[in-house]
Amino acid sequence: MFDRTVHLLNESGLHARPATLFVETASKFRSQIMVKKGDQEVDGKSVLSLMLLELTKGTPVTIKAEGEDEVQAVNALVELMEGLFDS
Amino acid sequence: MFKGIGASPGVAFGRAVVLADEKQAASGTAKSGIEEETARLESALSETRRQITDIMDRCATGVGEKEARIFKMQLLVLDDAMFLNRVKDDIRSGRLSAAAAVQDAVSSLSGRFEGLSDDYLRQRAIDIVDVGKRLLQNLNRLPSHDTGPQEAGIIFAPDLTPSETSLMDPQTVLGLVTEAGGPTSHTAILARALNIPAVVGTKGVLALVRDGDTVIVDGGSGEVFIRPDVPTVDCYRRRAEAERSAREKLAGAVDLPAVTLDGFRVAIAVNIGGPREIGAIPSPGAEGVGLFRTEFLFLSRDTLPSEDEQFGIYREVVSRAAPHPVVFRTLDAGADKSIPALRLAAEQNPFLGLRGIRLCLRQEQGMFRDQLRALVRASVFGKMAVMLPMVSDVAEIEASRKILGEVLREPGPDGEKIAEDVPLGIMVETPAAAVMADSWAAAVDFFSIGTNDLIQYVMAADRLNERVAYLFQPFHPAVLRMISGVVQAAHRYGKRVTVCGEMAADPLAVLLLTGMDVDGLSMSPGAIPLIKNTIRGVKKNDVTALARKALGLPGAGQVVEMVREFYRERLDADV
Repeated sequence: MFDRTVHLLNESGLHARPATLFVETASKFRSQIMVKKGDQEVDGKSVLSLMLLELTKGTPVTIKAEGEDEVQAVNALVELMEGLFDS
Repeated sequence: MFKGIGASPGVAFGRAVVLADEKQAASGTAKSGIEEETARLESALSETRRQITDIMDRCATGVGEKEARIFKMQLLVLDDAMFLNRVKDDIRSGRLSAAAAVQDAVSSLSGRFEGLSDDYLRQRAIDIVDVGKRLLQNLNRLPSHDTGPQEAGIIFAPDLTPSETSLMDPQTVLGLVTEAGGPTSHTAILARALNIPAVVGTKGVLALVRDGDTVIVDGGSGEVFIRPDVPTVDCYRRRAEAERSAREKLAGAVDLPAVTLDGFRVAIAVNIGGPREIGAIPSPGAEGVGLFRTEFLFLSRDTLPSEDEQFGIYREVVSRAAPHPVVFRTLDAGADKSIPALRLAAEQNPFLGLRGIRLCLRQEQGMFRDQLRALVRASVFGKMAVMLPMVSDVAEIEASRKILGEVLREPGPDGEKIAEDVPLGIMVETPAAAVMADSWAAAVDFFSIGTNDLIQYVMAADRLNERVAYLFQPFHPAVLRMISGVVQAAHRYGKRVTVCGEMAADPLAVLLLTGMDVDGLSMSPGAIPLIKNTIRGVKKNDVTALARKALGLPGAGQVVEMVREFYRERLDADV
């Protein structure tokens, strides 16, 4: 299992479009991916679960992966989340 | 007359086309076997995927890439484990038919979305309902009607799903009225993208309107008239015509100078904030870049960008914009716009914390000096100025000027002195900077008012906090007096003042800014035609009087009312 914690940077949090991007990226990996906010943990490949988590700006979010490509998956998703910003 | 929420501006005139809500009949318990229901679900799923992909493609070419992304999310919902597992479990247990299971899952999920506290996410419930409706139609083998009305008309509906809205043809759909929805609903977003006037949230309108009724929809004010009387019709017919000619005039305004009828000229520049926007420089109708946000160079990476890397980008921007100037704002980051490489600690109050120039001057890694060196090196490839963000003390200006002076004296990579001088200005975002403008004028080369932050600090209201966002009032006389004070102080010392916040792109605010003698406005490229048209339609003397009056009014409401009336009168159009 591999995990990293990030803080969402963009003003509007993880809205529909960023959540869509997140799931598209997560689905490229074989590992099981979980997203954790506080004590809630949801399936990182489910766009509905992600949006229902209501991730807002500045929330610490832990991205966990379990599987053969867990490190690459987590790193790719962290990079994606850090790259979200409102121009 | 019905009053709803104006969601997409413009006046529409025509016959009502009432779309009734078709309740899907989903039978309860599985009539056919579990396996058959599962197979029906699978084939309905693949048919639904095909339809959504098709709409997405049509939407991408007809409406825009951005709007098409709504359907990308819908595709993901169709394959979402949270949704599908529930539906499949319900079918497998033999409790429900495929259709009933889908309907059950959709209503439970959309219910959960409606319970969210975030306004935008709450509205995503409609995406779930949209996907569900389509899936049910395919399950029930109902023909799906993806076409709007054949004859031109104004659509009345309880609510419109994104796929329904996006397939509407602007040639035949003159306007939209829905009972549900808010200003950030899909109907509103897509109607704006398609330039179709729309009013949402008109509760009870469907009980009154009949198919074929003459209706008028004012997407600006949110008013809907059903079977209006002759004077109302005449009044709106004139307005609709005026709007049409205004739109035509607008498109032609982009290349004209922003000069008032009596010859007062305002410089128009663009704001640039991302790598993709650099390619669009020089922007049509703009005299250079009024605000180049350098943050994007620092975000999404673990290390700071090197001087050479920054130099490469600044040089490209400066040469593209030449002979017009580019105003580079030095890194404006803080706990709210965090830079991974700086490992900034979280703060209780990031908007009042270590950000902007405070952070630049605190840095230990030579970050600010590197940025200034990269800028100075790029300056010889065109015309540029450096601007400091979030200044609240004269010591910050002095310290920055000292570093800039040192950088200017240092030899460049080839051992030669690089540039003679680079103008240094400040953003006026804090009340401290606004009030001290006269005293600091000698220390700076120019001022640029960042209205977004200035309003937030003057009103002491966090604009991202929904509960106090109503206090974020650009037209508040306190804000206007601050701006006017800065302009007067700067002009006494012969210094230029520009405005680069959202206010510079708002036609009503621009009337006041022009009246207050602002020298230049910097905005997103899309706002240029409307702003130029606004300035070109008024006399400087009149807007000066208007601004003077505004400064004497007690509150934002009175100011907006007065300016709107002025705009309507002089520009013969509504905002």
